[in-house]
Amino acid sequence: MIEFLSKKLDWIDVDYWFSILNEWSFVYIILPFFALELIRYTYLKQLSKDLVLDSLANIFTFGAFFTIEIILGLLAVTKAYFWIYQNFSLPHLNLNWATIISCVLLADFAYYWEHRMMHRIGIGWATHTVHHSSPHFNMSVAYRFGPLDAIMPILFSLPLVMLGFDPILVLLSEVFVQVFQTLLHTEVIGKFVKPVEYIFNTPSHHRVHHGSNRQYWDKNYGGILIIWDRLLGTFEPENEKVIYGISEPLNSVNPIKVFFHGLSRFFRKLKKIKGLPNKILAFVKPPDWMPDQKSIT
Amino acid sequence: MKSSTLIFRSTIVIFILAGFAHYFTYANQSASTIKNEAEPLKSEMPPAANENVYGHEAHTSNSDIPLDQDPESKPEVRFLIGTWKVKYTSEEFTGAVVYKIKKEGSVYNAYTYRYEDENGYSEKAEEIKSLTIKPFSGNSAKGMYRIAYEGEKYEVECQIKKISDTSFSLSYDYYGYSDTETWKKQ
Repeated sequence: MIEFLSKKLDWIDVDYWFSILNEWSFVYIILPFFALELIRYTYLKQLSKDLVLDSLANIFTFGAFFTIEIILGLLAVTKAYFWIYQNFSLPHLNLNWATIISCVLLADFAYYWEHRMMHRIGIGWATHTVHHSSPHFNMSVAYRFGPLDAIMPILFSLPLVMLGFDPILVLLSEVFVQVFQTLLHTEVIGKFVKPVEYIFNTPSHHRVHHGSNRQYWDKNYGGILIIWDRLLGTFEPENEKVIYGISEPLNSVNPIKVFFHGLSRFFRKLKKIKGLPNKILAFVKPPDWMPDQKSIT
Repeated sequence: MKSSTLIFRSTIVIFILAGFAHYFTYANQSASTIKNEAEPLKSEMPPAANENVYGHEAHTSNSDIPLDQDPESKPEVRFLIGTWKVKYTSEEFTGAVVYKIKKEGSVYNAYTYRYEDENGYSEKAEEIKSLTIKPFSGNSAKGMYRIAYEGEKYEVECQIKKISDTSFSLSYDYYGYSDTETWKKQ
C-alpha cells in the first residue's frame, strides 16, 4: 500500500486523467444531464421563458467570469503561484497518489473556507450573491458567477502551494472540486443512501445551501465532502421544501444586471455608511452588517 | 461554534492531510536512498563515469538556478540539468549539437548551445528551445521535440529513457519517420 501510494507518477498521465475528469466532463456528463433536466422541466410543464432566459444569463456570467479568470491567470496568478512555490514553500512534494489524494482533499477543505468567507464577509457576498440569485436550480446555475469569484479562491489556494504541492496540481484539484460542485446543482436526484449523504456533498445538501428559507442560510458550504460542514458546525439536512434564491430577490434575467447586481447593491450600501473606517469594515464584516446595528445572523 | 474550536479543528485537518502527503514523499525518497546506497559508490565507478558525474555538477553552475540553491535539488533534477551532446549523421548535418537543459517551472527545456562539425570544429549556436521534457520520474519522461526536416519545423512527441547516470535516449515516431538519439552528458 505504501509503495502504491508513494510510487512516482508521470505528469503527462496525471494531466491526462485530470483532463478527462475536469474538461471533458462537460461533454459526457454535464451537458447530457442538463438536457435531461430540460426534458424533466418540459414533462412537469415547468419549462418557461423565464427559465430559459435565466439559464442564458447564467452562461453569460460564466463567460464574463472565465474572461476575468484567464486575464488574471495570465497576468499574475500563475506567476504568483510559482513564485510562492519557489520561495515560500515547504519541501516540494513528489507526484504520487498520496500527494494527489491529499491535494484534492485539501483543495476541498480550502474550498469550504473560501466558500464560507464568500458568504460571511461583505465583499465576498457582493460577488457570490450572483450565484445564489437564481430562483431556479439546475446545472446552468453552477455556471452563474460574480465578477470577483475568480479572485477570492487565490487567497485559499496559495497556502496549499506553501505546503509543498505543485501549483499545477493545486489548480487541477481546484477545478476538480468545482466540477464536482457543478454536478450537485440539480433537482433530478433526490437523496442517496445514508453513508453517501453522511460523507459526501450531494444534490440534497446543496439544494439546502441554495435555499432562501431562513434555516438554510449559510449552511452546507462543502465542495466534495460534507464532513467539513459536520466538523465545523454548518451542516443542515434537507427537511423543508427548498425555496431557491436570495432574501432580496433580483427579479431579472438581464445578464448584465445579474452579473453586477451584487456589487451595485454593495456600493449602494457603502454610500449609506458614514465614515471611511466603517466603509472599510463593511468589506470584511458580515453582509448584513451596518455600523449602527449588530449582525442579524 | 467558537473561533478557537474552528481554528483548532482546521489546523488538525491541514496537519493530517499535508502530513500524509509529506510522509509518502519522504517514504519514497528514503526508499530511493536505500536503493542508491546498495549501488556502487562514485569512487568505485569507472573513471569516465565518475568524471561525468562531477563534471555535470560543475556544468550546472551555468544553469538558471545553482544546484546547491535549488530547493528542488533532487537526483532526477540533477540528472537532467546541464549540458548534453548529441551526434547526428544525416544528409543535412553530420556532427554534434550541444544542448543546455534548464529547469523552468515544472518542465525541463533544452536549448541549442554549440554546434560541432565532423572535424571537431565548433561554433556557438543561437539559443533555440529544441526540447521540452515534462516532469521527469527519474527514469523516463515524455516530451516535445522540435525537429527541422527539409527546411520545415515539426513538433514531435518523444519518449525519454534514462540509460545511465550520464546518458539518456530520446526516441520519436512521426508518421512513420522514427529515430532514437543518444544524449550524452558533457
